[in-house]
Amino acid sequence: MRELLYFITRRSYVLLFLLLQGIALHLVVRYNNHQRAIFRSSVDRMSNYLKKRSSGVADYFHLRQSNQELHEENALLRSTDARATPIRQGVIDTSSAVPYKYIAATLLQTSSSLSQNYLIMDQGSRSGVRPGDGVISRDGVLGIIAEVSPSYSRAISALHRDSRISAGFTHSDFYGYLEWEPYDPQSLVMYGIPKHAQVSVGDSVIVRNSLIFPDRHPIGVVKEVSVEAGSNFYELVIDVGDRFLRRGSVYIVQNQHRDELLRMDISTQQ
Amino acid sequence: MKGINTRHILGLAAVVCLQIFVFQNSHLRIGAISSLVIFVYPITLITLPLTVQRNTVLIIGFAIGLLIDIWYQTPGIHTSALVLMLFVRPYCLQYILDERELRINMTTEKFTLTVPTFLTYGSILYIVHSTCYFILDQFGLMKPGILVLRVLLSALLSLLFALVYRLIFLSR
Repeated sequence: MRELLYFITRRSYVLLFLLLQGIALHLVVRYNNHQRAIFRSSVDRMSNYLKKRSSGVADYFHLRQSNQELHEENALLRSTDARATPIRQGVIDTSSAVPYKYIAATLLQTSSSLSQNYLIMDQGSRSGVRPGDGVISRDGVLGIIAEVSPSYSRAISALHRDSRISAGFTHSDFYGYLEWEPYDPQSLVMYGIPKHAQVSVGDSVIVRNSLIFPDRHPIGVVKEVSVEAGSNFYELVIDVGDRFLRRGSVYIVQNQHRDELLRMDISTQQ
Repeated sequence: MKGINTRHILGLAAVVCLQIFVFQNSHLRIGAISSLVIFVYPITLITLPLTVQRNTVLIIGFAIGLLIDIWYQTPGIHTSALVLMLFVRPYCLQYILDERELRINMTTEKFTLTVPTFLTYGSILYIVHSTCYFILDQFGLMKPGILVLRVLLSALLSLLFALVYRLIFLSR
């Protein structure tokens, strides 16, 4: 016991450092969404690897169980109405006609220098704001509401590693999705447009097939067009201007048919 | 807390306010490397006199890091980088100072380094801090070239600030 106390006293500096660093790293993986997702996937990968290595017999039984589940799922799919897919597409296609409720708000705080940026607005649940609503400005799309308090709301900015927005062009029916690659606050990257589509610098990019944002709401203009070697899809850099660097008036848009559409979507999947 | 006086506390409060209210929304970009961060807050901690117990410095650093993280909405990232930087500090001083300089600093209530020694000392600590910060921020080693440039440029800008601080407040 005395030796333990002597060790702790003698090594107090290193032990204190390890304790404080441990708390800090716990905070990093516990309260930062991006870091938590990577940490979890790494832990999952590692545990899966260890499981695979340690027990071939258990894997064998697990495979049998998976096989059984696939059989059951297959039977369920065979008994499902074959028209389910066209109906679901129909729901998405009519989203342009869906009425949107606009709630005027002021953007109180915005960041753009981090890898996970957020927006804070002065309207909350008292004004009817709900998680999942969109945030737009006159110039374009800004983000999606993640948390709501009675008087304020917090949105995941489009300048967030995990954000993904459905987008297309004014002049064609092709559509893809937008992501952000840190740390340029004036550019988003668009993926999913096949390379046989005609795209050129200066084309306008708008919202397409979104349940959150109104169809055809502006996003930006194409700044760079490239195709990675061996890929069949464009990688387009979209100029979104400096709207993420400015505070001021924004709208929280609420698709009033969203719950209904989501319920329809779920029931269609079932 | 032995060795810490009102001047240190005021200096600490001033640089924390500067970091939060002035540098939080500054978007620095050099060439293709954007979102550079100037770390202002470590300077008062790395220039605390060596008469202050190193455990105390670690705890103060932890508290300051948490405060900055709350404002930046980056729980743990600044804290971790700052705690690591302060942990390395005594070893760094042992490495770069000769016995006489070390003895002078251990016995006086003032942190005194010549400008060239201060630049070496600051470079090492700011590189440690920036490396830890940016690796934790992106939580990996993706795009290592850009990561290294971001670390070096942020450390350089922070060191320039630290040098100005040293010349103004610690030269006499």
